[in-house]
Amino acid sequence: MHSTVALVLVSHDGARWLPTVIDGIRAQQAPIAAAVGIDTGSKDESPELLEAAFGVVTRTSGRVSFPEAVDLALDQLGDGPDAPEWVWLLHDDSTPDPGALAALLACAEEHPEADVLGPKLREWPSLRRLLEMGVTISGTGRRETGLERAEYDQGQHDEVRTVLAVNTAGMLVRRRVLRELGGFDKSLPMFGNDIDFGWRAAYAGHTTIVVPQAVVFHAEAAHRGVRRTPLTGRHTHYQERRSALYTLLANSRARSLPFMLLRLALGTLWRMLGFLVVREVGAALDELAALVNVYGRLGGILAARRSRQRRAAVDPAKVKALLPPPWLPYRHGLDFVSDVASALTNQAADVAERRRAAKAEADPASFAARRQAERESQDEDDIPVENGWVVRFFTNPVAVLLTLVGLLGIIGARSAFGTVAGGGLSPVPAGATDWWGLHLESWHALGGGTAVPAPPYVLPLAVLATILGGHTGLAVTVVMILSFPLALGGAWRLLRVVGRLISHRGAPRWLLLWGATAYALVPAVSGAWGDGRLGPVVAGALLPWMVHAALGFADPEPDRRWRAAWRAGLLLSLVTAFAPTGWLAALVLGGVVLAIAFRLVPGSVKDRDVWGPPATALAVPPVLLLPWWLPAVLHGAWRAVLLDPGRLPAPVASGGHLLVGRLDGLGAPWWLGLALPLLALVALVPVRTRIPVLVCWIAGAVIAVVAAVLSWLPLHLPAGTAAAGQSFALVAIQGAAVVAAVLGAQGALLDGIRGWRRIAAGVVATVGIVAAVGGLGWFVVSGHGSLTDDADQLAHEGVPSYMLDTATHDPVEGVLVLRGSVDEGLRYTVLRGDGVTLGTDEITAATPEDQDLTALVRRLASSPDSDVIEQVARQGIEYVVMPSPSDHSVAEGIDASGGLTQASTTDRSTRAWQLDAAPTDPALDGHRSWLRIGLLVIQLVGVVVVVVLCVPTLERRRRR
Amino acid sequence: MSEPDQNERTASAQRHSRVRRGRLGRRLDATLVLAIVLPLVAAAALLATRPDAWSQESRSPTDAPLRSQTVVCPAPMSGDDGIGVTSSSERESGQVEVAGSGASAGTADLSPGRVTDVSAGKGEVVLSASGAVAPGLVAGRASSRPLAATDCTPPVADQWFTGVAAGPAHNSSIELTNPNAGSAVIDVTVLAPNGVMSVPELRGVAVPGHSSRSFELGKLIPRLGSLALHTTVVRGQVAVAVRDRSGQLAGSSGSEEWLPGQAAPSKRILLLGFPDEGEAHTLTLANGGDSQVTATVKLVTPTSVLSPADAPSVQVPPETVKKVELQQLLDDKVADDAYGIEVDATGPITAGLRTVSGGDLAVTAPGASLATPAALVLPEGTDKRVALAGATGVGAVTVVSRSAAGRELASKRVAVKPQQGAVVDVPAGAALVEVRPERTAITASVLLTGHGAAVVPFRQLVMRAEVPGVAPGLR
Repeated sequence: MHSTVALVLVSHDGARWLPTVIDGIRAQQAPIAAAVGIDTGSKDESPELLEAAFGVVTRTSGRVSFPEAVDLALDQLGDGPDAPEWVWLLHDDSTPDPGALAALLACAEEHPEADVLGPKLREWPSLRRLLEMGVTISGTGRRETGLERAEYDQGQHDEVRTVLAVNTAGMLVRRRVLRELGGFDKSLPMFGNDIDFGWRAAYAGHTTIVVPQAVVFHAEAAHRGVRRTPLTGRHTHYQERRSALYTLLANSRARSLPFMLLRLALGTLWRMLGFLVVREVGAALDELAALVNVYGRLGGILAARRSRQRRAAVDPAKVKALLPPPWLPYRHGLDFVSDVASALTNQAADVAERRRAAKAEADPASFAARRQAERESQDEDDIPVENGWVVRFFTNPVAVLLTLVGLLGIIGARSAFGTVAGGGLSPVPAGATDWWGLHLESWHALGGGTAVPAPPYVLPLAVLATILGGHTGLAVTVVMILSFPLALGGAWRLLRVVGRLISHRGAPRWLLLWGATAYALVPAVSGAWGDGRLGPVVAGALLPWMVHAALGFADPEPDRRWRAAWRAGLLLSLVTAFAPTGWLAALVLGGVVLAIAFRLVPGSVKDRDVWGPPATALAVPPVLLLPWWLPAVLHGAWRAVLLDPGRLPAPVASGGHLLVGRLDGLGAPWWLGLALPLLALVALVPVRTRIPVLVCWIAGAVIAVVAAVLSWLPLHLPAGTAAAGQSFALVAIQGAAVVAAVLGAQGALLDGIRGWRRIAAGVVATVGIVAAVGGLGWFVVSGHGSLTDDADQLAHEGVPSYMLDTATHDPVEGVLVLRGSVDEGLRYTVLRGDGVTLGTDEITAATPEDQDLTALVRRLASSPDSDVIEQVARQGIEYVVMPSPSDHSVAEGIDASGGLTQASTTDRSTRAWQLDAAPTDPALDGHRSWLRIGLLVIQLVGVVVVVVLCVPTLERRRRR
Repeated sequence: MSEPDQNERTASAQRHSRVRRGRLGRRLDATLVLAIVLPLVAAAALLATRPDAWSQESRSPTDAPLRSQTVVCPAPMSGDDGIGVTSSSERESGQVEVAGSGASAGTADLSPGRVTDVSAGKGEVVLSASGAVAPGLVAGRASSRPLAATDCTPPVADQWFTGVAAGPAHNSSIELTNPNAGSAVIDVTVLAPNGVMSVPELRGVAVPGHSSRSFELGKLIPRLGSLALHTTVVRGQVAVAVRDRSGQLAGSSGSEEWLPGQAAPSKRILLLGFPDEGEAHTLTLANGGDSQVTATVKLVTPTSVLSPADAPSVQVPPETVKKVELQQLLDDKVADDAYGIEVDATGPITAGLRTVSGGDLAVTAPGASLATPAALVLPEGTDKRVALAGATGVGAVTVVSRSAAGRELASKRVAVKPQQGAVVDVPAGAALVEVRPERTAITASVLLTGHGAAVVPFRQLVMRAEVPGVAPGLR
């Protein structure tokens, strides 16, 4: 005997789907005893369609929710003995397979304990993809289907299972049970009422099963935002989230309720952060609104809980088995992160490829389109030979060589393992907190106290050191070691894309290998690496990535152009942090390039999406580096804005040095460096690639002009006169030469090398290879330069260590160091804390002279008496040291003055005294600057915003 | 498709191709021009790139009035030694602090131009002046029987004493005085005829604050032959005084004299003033350098500097001491009016001259070249003769002598020029002798004769302090 089934169909503006749905219902193999149609205020012809199909239709207002509509239908069905046993619920956007009802009923017969049955939901209109096979809810309120996203139905899940809940679309439920449980919860008008119902049913001892043999196709119109009802409004996400929170709080066990409340609140904040990171501000606000809404009506939840408890009939542990495992949300979090990461790498994929695709789309007759079609057909025919990566790697000589070059670079950088300092690299402070302090403080207890801000590279180093567990030394080691492979990889990537802009096949891989190697070697062979100059080292490593990002300005898609803008801006900020003149050069270069572009394509001036991205990229560094340059200018240390990082005196590079990529007196033999400019010059010969090579030359020439102008600007610092930073010019000019050379070679190869050209090409290739191999060999053998493991003494050269051990405890216990002689002048510094460490060099060098302190030191050196000594103590000085060779006339004066005691030194010719008076210095602490705090906040917000804007737009949002 | 249409299209295609070719040609030209211009622009920019290498301007010292000065008078020869002190600088009065084991701590008043007697007993005396009287603080200590006199000097970091000995007939002692509160350390290097002697007791000698230590070389390193001492203060301030003793001289139980120090080795040394009737003149030369030096002895007379035919030429090997007997040279008729000896050497050396005259010892040490006025406090009642030589240019020197009360007894201005000095007799009653060079620098010393002889060289007075140029450094 067949059980009687009544169909309940609730519709709202479903005319798009209803004809199909009605066909589906008519095609059912099992009989339907009664059909009740409820229309909730449709504005289309839904009611008419329903009427035509089922006769009578109950029309209600649009504000009637799904639970209310179902209640209405139940009322119509009545409770009499002839009332149907089963109610089959359908949505206006869900159409059943002809055998759906029959399969459901068959299963109900087989499993008499089942009171709620659900079909297998497949996507509509694809009809193939699985949507749901029963649902449950995770501890964070996520609707869990246990399926992969867009999984095809191949019968892989086809078994009848007990589940927590099934979707109301296609749900077959005993009318009695539906009545007993009070229908669906009226507090859940649209979403989530199925889970809540299933959960309540489970508590009440009813069983819900899913029947895979029954198939219903569901368009999920409301969930996807295709249909808007007065109940969902514009904020689908808000409704879904509110339902999820309500369901969890109303159904969870009593003892876990407080924990649940806290977890959901914190989880909401966390999810908001996640949404903000992918620029889904609306969703983030929906999250917050849902939380506020639910938490603001805890009374309603408590009432709901009471009513559920009254009906509870089974052991909660039994119900718990239907909920997903507790680790599931974390697994999803991990998936999300990996999704973003893969999106990021996809984003960075070839701009050249996309330009070609866009061209193909715009002009189907073009070569690009033909080529693309050709390749696509190939791709489908070719069955790629599946080999392990090991095999693929070792059968690819270029990959092997590239790896070898990277390894040799790391071997060349071996002296950076462990502690490293020397040359321009000061020893690191004790912990990452020192760097954070340096970055955040408004006032540094250095020397006589200074408000000059920390150099901008301190922040990235602090972040890196924090990631590395607070190991500052490790951070510097990582930077020094990885700079070479990073530059190599970046240059490879950049040259590959640039090559593809010229021809679709790109430059030959061995040419890329040469170019990447030649470029990555620039910081090393220039001597900057060996001299511990972080400027060229880091700028060199980041420059190719920045240029790669900047190529995105030429992307055909405006959204990608804007992403490129933020990414290029962020990288330019990092480059500028390590090579401050980089921004200036980029600004001038950007101006020149934009001017040329507008000259060639005048129409692009009006398009904000064309000039906006490069302008944005140039505007990002001044904002992100605001806490550095603005206070520096305000505190009379504007020269610091033009100084390269590292210890002074720094080696300079004149024009000749920039040409061959060497710092004065350092690096590999200079004649090896002649190769790159020579090759860049020869690269102008092939006509086919002359224009792109000229672009490189424009870049090189503009940077050279900026370097020339800066070189005429001596920076008069209190301790001496320094030259403006040239790190950027050093690596950028060489980089432009490398790109030009690779492009030129590519052009020559495209033109074909025949006859006398063979000889010329042979000579050129030999020059290039000799330069690269020679440079690499030099770096591996003797690239360590002046770097040393013995870093500690560098922080306080000539000053006994024990004095700074004391000073580490309290910055007030400083050491006044006097160097020089009466005849040539005395130079003084006040060491505090660890001494001079990485990040403090620039502050000390740029701090304007403290005239009072200078006068005091002059008195100490010329006519010291007990009064002078006392004043020195009041400057926060405990020791006075004259490192060897000390000027005797000054030393004997201090000896004779009284008020000091001889302090021991290891070196007899170093003179040291301890002041008898206890040191005090009120000028060393305090001075919190609200301006700096404001700037730091701007920086933080800026970094967050820029990073968020760098993240690629998620595919689903792009489609929308 | 109709005919005209076709034609039109062909024409249009030709037009297009012409335009394209024209554009292409222009572009080719433009790229070629750019391919030449851009490298030139880059090269010009690189040529113009001339950054200044790091430079630190050197800051030369400036002068400032001296604010304090300390001079140390060594322990006396015999009990009756007196100390006279004055400040030759200001026209202002002031006080000088007296300390040291040879005097009870206190102060002594200084008035302009007057020599104040400081009562002193056995032991060294430290005189410290501050304020207006600090510049030009001059003090002297002398004993009359036999005559010995010395200038009380400020502590000197590095100086040479040439012609000391550690034998029974000729013995020397070193007196080290630390005038300050903190302890001081000094190294004394001993040069002997056969090289540098290793004397551990004189390496890193610590002198506690406000105290004095003395070493008798005869006890420490008994040996024959002349020696030279090089004292280097390592830490703090130490005043070094060297006493040279001559024992078992004919008709005498022995005589003592202070040996003034020489500031630095020099290629040209002037030893001015020695008793005429000396029975023995011994010149000692020391070469502290690391290459051999040849020294020639010349005679300084009022009219010229002579190089007599038989003047000895001496080879001084590195780090050795050489003794030269000058008796024969000085007994010569040519040397009748000689009042000094000039030693010209091929490298920097140090020198000292010992003269035994009438049973008394006199020691002549090199004097400093004076460009500014200098003064000496000398015992009253002895014959004094100021010897001037070594003028660096044509100029004049005024020798002024005053009594202890400040009265000017005599003032004589003499013309000097290179190779030509002068000898000026000073009244016996003079207690303060000033030398004022004009337009030239001069070397000067005073020969005192009475019950014996003594020679005291003028030293450059410390009038001003050098204030070093101070600037912040890098680290």
